[in-house]
This record gives sequence, structure tokens and C-alpha cells, in this order.
Amino acid sequence: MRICIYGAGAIGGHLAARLAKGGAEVSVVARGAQLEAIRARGLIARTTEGPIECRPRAAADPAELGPQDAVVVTTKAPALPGVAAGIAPLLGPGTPVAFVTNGIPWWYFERHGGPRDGEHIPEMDPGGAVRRAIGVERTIGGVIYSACSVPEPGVVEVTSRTSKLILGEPDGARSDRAMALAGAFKAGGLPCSVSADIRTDLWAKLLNNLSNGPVCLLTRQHMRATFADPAIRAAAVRAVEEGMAVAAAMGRTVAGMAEDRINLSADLPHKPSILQDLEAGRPMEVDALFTVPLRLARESGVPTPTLSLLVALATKAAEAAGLYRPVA
Amino acid sequence: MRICVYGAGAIGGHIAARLAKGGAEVSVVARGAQLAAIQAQGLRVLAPDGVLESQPRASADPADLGRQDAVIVTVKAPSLSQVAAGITPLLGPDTPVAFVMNGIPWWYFDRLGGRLDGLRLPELDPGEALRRAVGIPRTLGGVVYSAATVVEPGVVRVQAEDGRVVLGEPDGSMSPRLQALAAAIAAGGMGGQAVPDIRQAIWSKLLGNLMTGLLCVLSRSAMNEVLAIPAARDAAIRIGEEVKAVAAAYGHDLGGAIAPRVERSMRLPHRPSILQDLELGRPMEVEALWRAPLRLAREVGVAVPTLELMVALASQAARAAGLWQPQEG
Repeated sequence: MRICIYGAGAIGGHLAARLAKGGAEVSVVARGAQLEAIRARGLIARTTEGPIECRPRAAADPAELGPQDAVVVTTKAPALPGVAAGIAPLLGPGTPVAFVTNGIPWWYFERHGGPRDGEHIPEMDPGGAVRRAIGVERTIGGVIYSACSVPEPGVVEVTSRTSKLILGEPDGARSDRAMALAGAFKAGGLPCSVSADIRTDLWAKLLNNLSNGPVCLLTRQHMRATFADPAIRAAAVRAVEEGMAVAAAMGRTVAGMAEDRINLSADLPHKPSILQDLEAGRPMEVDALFTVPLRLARESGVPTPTLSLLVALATKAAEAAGLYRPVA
Repeated sequence: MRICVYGAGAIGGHIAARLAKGGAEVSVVARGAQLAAIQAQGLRVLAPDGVLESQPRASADPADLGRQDAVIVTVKAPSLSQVAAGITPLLGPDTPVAFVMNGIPWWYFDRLGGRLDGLRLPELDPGEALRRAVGIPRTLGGVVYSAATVVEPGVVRVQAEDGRVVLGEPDGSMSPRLQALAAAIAAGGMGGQAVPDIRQAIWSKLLGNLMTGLLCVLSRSAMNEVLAIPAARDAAIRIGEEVKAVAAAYGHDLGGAIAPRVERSMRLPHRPSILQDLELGRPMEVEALWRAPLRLAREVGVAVPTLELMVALASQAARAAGLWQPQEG
């Protein structure tokens, strides 16, 4: 199976290594030092069960890689317009494109059913470029749980003992193409399931992002230091409860207690990826993680007093750092 | 009257210039480029009512300046321990020391009377160094209202015409030494006012600092930028109401509605000094401005949920920047 990973950063690098290990014919779209390193020395994913070494084809220009059996997009949300501009050469007539991204995806309301069916999310797809270049037909949703970083070009460090990937069709079907893609990841040792309700999985992950993203952006500290303060911890619990209420109003019931979700991350000396982006001067996924969920809250009439304040301050700080600009 | 201004930054420089203009014999304790400039060319203050030029004696070492009739301390709170270590040569048997500072002062509960009289605030006076070196009998409280910046070493620009220093005794008495020091400042054309309740002025200024300072630090933005967001504006109002309630529990009425005050701040493209400290990598007055008010709220059992959360987040941000460390123990 020919599979291209579009965006070979930490998550993309880990996924590419898993696919290669499982026997897929893997290529990656990468840039800069990461591209140079993969071309020169290949890609190494250091996992808790040992290193995975592979030599995927790598290019900055997708035209060098040709049509694929599947494409997996792992860029951050702000890079999606660039994906839309470059992806065409990778797409055969039936090539599916899985978006393994954080937050509310551009296709959220596609095949959603109900009164909001087909509604666009302009913050996530300005000008509709992704919709035009890829379209809903090809689209598969994805949620990844895996703590990864790139300690040096060409090397991915996977710190979580258990990673997992969840794929799902926007209409909830357990399609052959989704099962085939999941099979390719599982063959490489990465647990991967096909969900009949990927939107609930998206919200579950988003609640994690909402619990630790805004507060850690404001404290500029990792989770353990941030949650050591009882006032901050209590606010994070309220933020998750508010997020759960928004998800519920959108018809998605996320199981579990807000407090348990905080407890899971409260001892990790880990900086959320959006804080890593801020500190590294990379564009921040403010819209996908914060702006769009809060807009959905307003439209659903769900009050989010704690989240609104934390997000307002964190968003302003992202703007002040020059790493986020609101869509006009 | 021999008066030493300890800490000749923007505020200290402005006060020193006013004292000199009013006829006092002024000296300043300064450091670095500011000290070198004052020693070489004197002190220039560009004020709305004219340019004030003076030649105060200046030294980094108070021992060079000798005993004073009064000392006015204008350093930021994190530098107070150095003041405690250095101030002794300036002090005669009866020299008063006015602490003109932001936030809750180290002596707040001294001579307060009532149930909380004499409570110590160790975070504001680590190891009780000030209490030992200066002591309560010499101490005067002070609050300054003056928008001033050091534009180059030795040169201070004063933006607002209505600059004033409010001074008061911890026990509220209108003592001769208090009135003499206020008069020495007023003689130079700056408001100098002796008041019977300096804690009222402290809370009044602190209210302004807390309403906007925390939000500006967390958003790293000017007042008008962050207060343009409705959620931030609501938080500023809640913080203001909470601080008012704490002040009220200490017997201070901070006046009318908070919302109009926030609306005035909405128009100001101003970066509060504590945000400037963060951006310039200078030690931040976290204890005096942020954490001591929380302690005072706890002492009187007033709930301050918004203030508490914002202080928790902003303190951690100051810590992450290496500009504040919690006290041990």
C-alpha cells in the first residue's frame, strides 16, 4: 500500500515509521532540516519498545512522490492552506485523505446530519481551499494520542508508552478504505481503531487540549508546575466541564469525570504542544483548539465563563507573540 | 532639610528634582548609568511645568551621603532587602523613612489597631531585615501618582501634570515630621499631601494596579488591547469588585462603581509597569502587588476567586520568566 505522510514532524514522523515497520510503501512530505536529515540518514522513531528505523521517500514537493493509495495529513492546522495548494499530485481518483489534526476539523459538519449539516468552518479552511483541493468524498477524520517530539532532525522521540490512533469516516461508516488504513498502522505496532463516531473522539481529545492548553500558555510552565496551584487546577476542571457541556450540546457525550482528566496530566512535566509552538515561535493552533470550540459554545447557548476568560487572555498573548492572527 | 531619595529611577528622580526645587538639600542613592549621569551632568526632569535641573549629591553607597533629616525610599519592592542592608549610615536617631511604593507595604499591620494589629508579612520583609534596620518608629507610608520614565541616564520625563505624593503615619497621626516632609515635596511644585489614613491611598492605587495589571501581564498586551475583549473586561470588573470588598473589610471605602473605571482604562494604550518589568526582564513586584492582597483577603475571610486565579497564573508566568521566586517555607 502506497501511503504518504504529509507533514513529517513529531506525530507525522512517528506515523511514517509505524507504516514502514508494517510493510507499507511510505513517503513523506517534509521541509527544511527535517527533509535533509530524512533524505541523508532516513527516519528514526525511538519508541518505548525500541527504535524503528526506516528510509521513506521524502520530498518538499508532492509532485516527486506521485499518486498514493492513501494520504495522511499530520501538519498543524495553520499549515492546511499549504497542504491544499500542494496535495493534488498525491491524489488518484480514489485516494482517501486522513486528517490527523487537533481541535475541530474543517469538515466537522460534513455528513453530520441535522440542521447544521454541511455548514462550513471558515476559521479552519479560509476561502474553502481544502474543500476544493481535497473535498469531503476523500476525507477521513483522525485523532492521535502520542506524546512525541523531534530532539534532532530525522529523529522522533515517542515518550508515551501507549500511543493510539483513531480513524473515522465523517458519516460513521466502517469503510473498507478506513479499515485498510487502520490495518497498515496496526501492522506497524500502533493500535488503531475505526470509530463509528469520530466526532466524539475529537471532542474527547479536545477536552484534554482545553484542560491544559490555555492555562499552560498563561503560566508558560509544564503541566505539573501549572496544576500544582489549587486555584489553577480548579479552573482547569471548570474548563473541562464547560467543554463537556459544549460537546453535549453538539450531541456528543464524552464519558468520564472532568477531574479524572486533569489528574491524568497533572503530574506530567510535559508542555502542551501549543505552548511548545509558542516557545519555538511556530504558528499556533488557536482557531482549531480554542476559537472554533468557543464559537460553537456561543451558538449552542452554552455558557463557558472560565474557558472564555482563559482563552481570551491566551489568544491575546498568541497575537502579541506574532504567532496568531484572528480571521477577519 | 537634608533629604535622601533612595532609588533614583523615574519616580525617585522626579521626587528628588521637586525636593531640590523646593529648597531641600537633596542627595540620591543610585546605581549604574543613572548614577554616573547624575554625578557627571546632574539630574534633568522634563515636566509639563518646565525643565527642572538639579545637582543632587549622588552615590551608590549611602555611607558617602551621611545622616539625613528624612529618607524617601522609591525602589521597587524586590530591591528592599538591599535598602535594608545599606540604609544605616543615612539614619540619625530620629530620621523618618518614607516608603513610597506600590502594593501592600511590609508594615501594613503595624499600628493598625484591632484584631490583626502587628501581623507580620514575611514575604514583604524576608528575615525582617527592614524591621531591624529601619523599624516601625521611623516608618512612614507613601503612595505616588506620577507617570514618569527615564528617557536616558540622568533624564526623567514626566507625562502627567497632576503628579502627587501622599504620605501618612502607620498610626494615622498628623505628626510634625510627616507634615514637614509633605511640605518639602509640595514646595517644589509637585502635590505633596499628608493624610490621616495612608492605607486608604494604598488600597485606592492598588485597586487600579490589580484591575488591569494582571490581565495585561497574562495577555502580554496594553490595557486598551486586552480590555477590548468582553471576557477580559468582565474579569477586570470582577477583580475590581473583589478588591473593593477586601478593602471594605479593612474599613476602606474605595468609592463608586468599578465599570466606569474599567471603561476609562479601555482607552489607554498603556503597558502597566509590571508588564514592562516582565518584558525588560526586571524583577517583578509579585509579592507586594499580587500575592499580599490575597493574604489580606484570607485574613478577613473575603472570597476573591477571580483575583486568586489571575494571581496564580500570573505568578507562575513571572516565575517561568525567572523574575520571581516563591519564598522558601
